[in-house]
Amino acid sequence: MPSMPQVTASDPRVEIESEIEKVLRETESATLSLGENLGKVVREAEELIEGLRSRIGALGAQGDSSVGAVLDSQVRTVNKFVTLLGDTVGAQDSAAERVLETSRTVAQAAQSVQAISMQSRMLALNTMIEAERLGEQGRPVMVIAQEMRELSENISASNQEITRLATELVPLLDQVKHNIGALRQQTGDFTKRFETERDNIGAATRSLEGTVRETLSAGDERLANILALSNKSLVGLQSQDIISQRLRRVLRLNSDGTVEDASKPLLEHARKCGPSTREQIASGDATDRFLSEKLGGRTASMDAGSMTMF
Amino acid sequence: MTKILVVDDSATMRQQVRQVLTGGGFEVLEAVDGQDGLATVTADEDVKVMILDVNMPRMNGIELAEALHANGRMAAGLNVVMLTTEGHAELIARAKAAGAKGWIVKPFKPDLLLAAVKKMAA
Repeated sequence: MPSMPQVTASDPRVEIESEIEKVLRETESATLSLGENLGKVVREAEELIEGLRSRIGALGAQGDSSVGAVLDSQVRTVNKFVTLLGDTVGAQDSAAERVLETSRTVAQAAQSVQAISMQSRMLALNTMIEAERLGEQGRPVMVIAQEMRELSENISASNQEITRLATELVPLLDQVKHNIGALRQQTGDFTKRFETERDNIGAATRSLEGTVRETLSAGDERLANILALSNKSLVGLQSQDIISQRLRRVLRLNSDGTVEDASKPLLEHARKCGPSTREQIASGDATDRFLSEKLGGRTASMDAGSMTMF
Repeated sequence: MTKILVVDDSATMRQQVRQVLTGGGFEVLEAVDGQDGLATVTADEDVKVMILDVNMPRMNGIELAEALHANGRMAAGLNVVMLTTEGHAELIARAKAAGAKGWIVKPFKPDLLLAAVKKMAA
């Protein structure tokens, strides 16, 4: 920072220069503050978008890691399970039906066996009566008839047990079949409900993914706008600084007593250009017009804002 | 992190260059004039790129570039780009002869400066 010129009460020009220097310093201070705040605004905006992306970015992801893809995978797994469950329930229903039919057949067969058993017993009884009538000669026949009767009674007892079991089994199997039917109904209902819900969830997910992507895209767009505006503002601040620096150089030369003649072309040039507009300052054009190097009389080969790499 | 040294007597310019380059992932050192810049770059061999203003008190940017050319620092890999309000052919030619890699006229466009520095730091 250049040293402040000595202010003397007898030299109004020096006093003016001193005041101008104060203004320049205040302007520099304000420019620095504006630049600092501008940088903070950009950093805050970048952090905001970055935070947004890290928090909800996964919801807007595409491809295998998207919510929709994960949900589809889950749906496929549940579909597989539901189909398997339906097949198993159907198979159990058929098995229960076959067992029920078998039980009924067994009960019918038991009734036939019971009739045969009764006939066998009657035959054994008649044989015993005939054996009794024959006396000693009928004794061997009596033994056979008694064995027959005993066998017939055993068959009858076993048959009664089979009939009882078959009779008890039928209502139990009916209940099993009823339960399987209910399970099949519930499985069907679940499948229908699941398909409806799956479609609803799928639609909601796609909508959510779209909204997230749009939000992030809008955020990126806004950030790009902020950066573009920030860059324009930086150029404006630079222009302000360049004007201050040039003005200070003129003051320095003037206080040295060397600018008396040299400053005239610059001042004439400034008067001719008139005051710069805000747009000219922002674009750097003001520095070109007002600050072109009239003092040295040299010709500029590059314009403000341009760049060349060797 | 690549070190960049910005040499400018304007605090505003240093601030703006620093903001642009730190935002691009560079570490930025500052010097307030040519002599300060020469001392800083001499003390720190990690500086990869220098951004020099031309009009500065004590030692101007062209003189600093010439000093760095003379002491072999540029040959050792230091890249220099001039950042100035000047745009005169004879000054540009002098900087080029001193080994500077580029010339940017203020007010600079942030994205252009960042692109230039990235290219030189690569």
